Amino acid sequence: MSQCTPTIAEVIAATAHHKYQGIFVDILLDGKLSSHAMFSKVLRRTHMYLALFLTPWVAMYAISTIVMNHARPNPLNFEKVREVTYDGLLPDDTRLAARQLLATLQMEGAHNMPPRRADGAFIIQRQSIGTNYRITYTPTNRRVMIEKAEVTGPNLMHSLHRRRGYQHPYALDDAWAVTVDLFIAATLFWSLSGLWMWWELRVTRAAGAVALAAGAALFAFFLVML
Amino acid sequence: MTLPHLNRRLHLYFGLALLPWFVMYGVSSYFFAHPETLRARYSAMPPFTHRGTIPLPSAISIPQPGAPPAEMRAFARQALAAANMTSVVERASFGAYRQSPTQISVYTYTFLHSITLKADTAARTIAIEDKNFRWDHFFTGMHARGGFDQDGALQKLWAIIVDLVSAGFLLWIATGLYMWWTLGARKARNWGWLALSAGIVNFALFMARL
Repeated sequence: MSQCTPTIAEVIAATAHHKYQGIFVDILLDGKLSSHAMFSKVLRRTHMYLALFLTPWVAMYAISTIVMNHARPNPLNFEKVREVTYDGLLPDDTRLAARQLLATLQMEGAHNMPPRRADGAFIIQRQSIGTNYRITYTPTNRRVMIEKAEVTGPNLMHSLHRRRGYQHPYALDDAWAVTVDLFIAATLFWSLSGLWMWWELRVTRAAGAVALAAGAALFAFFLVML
Repeated sequence: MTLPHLNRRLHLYFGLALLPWFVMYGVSSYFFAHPETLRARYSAMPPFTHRGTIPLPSAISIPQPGAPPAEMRAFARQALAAANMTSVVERASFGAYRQSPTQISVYTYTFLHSITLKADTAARTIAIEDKNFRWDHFFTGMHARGGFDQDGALQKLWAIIVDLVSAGFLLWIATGLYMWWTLGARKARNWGWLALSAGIVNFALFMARL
């Protein structure tokens, strides 16, 4: 029996404290990490690789936040790109008509539409990162006017920061929305895994608790006062 | 203290101090991305509770349609004074926008409570309405708050903290990259390269195609 199942004394004797990435973890003498150490390693690696993958998103959200904090978006100034005649038959449903028109113009993608004008004309606001387009279709003469908005730094940052998905009928927008969801999940994961890693580092517990308490107190102060 | 040591401590302590903002931005982003989440829960709740109606003083001039933001803001300030809410501007974000040809809405926003003054420019009355609390609006409102164009030192301090949190994000990138690079393990470096380059390529593709 004793050959198969080690006694507590044998386990203690076979376990040593080793320094692993700045923390002391239990490593069994046969070289394998204990389950706690293995969990810690997986958590650290996930924290790191997720952060490396999402680095462009973190940078984009940080830089755009700074820009948005200091500059309001400029009113959009449009300039005419081209005007064409559309001879095809458009469905009565404005949404379907817009999608058909965008497909014909090879400009498919996220767009919004204000209500139709009294003369039946409709406007498609095509939102593309970097450049926004305004496409106006007038049914009386079947003309389609395509205008392009002037690109400004603040507007670009606003549109990047606010870009979401799922509400548009395009797979690419849904894919972007998935990355936004991944970023949200990562934010919460980094917070929890960060707390776990801090708690593992005994030497930083006191100073970390001060930092955490100071941040929480400041946040609570603003929550009540503003 | 060595540079790697200092780098790790910066990463950690900045993270801990800014954790409430980090969590808030994470949770609130979910409500921006999925606005339908709590819609059913609040569908039966009216958005506002009517507090009362007061006359719109004749001394207050009504901004014309298309009036510049500064003029609308001046109107908001006068309307708030008429409603005995002058002190609110120190704590609350406020502004005004034209809701319809005969209505200008003046909003005041604090994290926990918002009030809207609906000025009927034809009848010259102001209806005071309290916004009913919603968790999703609480988070999205907090997320969107920022900028240096509001009154009051505290509001400017909040805007500075928004900058600080953004700088914290950039600091985490810099210190995180340094930690990864100095990790030493070849396997971690290779996998890290893969994760980093996959992220950059994905992001670049989205920028080119969206």
